[in-house]
Amino acid sequence: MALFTGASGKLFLNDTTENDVAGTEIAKVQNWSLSTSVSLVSTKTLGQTDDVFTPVGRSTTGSCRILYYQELPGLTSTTNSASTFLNKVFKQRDSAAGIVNGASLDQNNTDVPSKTFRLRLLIDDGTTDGKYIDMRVFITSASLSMSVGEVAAADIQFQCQGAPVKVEI
Amino acid sequence: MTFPITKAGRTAPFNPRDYLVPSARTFESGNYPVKTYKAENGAEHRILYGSKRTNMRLSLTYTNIADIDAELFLDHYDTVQGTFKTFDVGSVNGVSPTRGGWEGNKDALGAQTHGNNYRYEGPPQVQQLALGRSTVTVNLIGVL
Repeated sequence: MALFTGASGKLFLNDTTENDVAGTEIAKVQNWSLSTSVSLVSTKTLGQTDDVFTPVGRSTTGSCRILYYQELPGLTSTTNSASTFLNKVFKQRDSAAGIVNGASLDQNNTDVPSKTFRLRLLIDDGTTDGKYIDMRVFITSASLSMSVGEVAAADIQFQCQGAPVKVEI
Repeated sequence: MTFPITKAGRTAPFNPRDYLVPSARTFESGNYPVKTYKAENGAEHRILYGSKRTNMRLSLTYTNIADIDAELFLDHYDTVQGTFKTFDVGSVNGVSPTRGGWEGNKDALGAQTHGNNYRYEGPPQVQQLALGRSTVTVNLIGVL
């Protein structure tokens, strides 16, 4: 029997292609979590005493905490630091794109048609691919916090677009 | 074709889960054909033109039923040519699913007791709420 700890957890991000690839591993992940809820509607009829339901929908959301760091002084990592996530929602005004006082809501690489990007939440079980859930997501909340005595980190919350692309868990 | 009382694809012998039971029902008991006149002195005069109560209204709501069951109501509406033909809401094995949950006298909610039959007062309303699930509301009126 194999139990897993946080040391087995990994997070991959792919925002450069829609192909079926894991993407880049996010280096400094402190935690990730995923939850799925199923929405039910009542099918209770007259004469029935107890609730009866049928499932009609599903919603998958998650969160992760990524450390913010620089690989070299003055150089922000654009590949696997928290800034990878932050730059998807923290955007400066982009009047060049014809958006008055605003900026693009696109969270993917500009070359990719989809506005979502792809995350892989992985449990490394020692096999080639490991156990993972692949999904296309939108960041719904991102917050960067800085406080005395703590490492700067970003808390990210995301919402899955449609059903997960691949589930091997 | 009788008014939909069993779910699509179900065959006899039926069990309670095979019935289409409404999740809400409104019944108005109608009235006898009475005409009321007001005299100049304010007195009310009423003339009874018939001996049978009529115009009972039965509104049935089937919440979150499967689309294939919702379709039964549309098919039935077509079969009875909309609001033209009358029909019996019917029962199966002595059970009247449209009166499900009613513990009073079955006749109290019926139109047949008073020589009436139901017809559609208007077209069934189908509201799609989720994949494969709809809510259907039918409004029936008892006529002689």
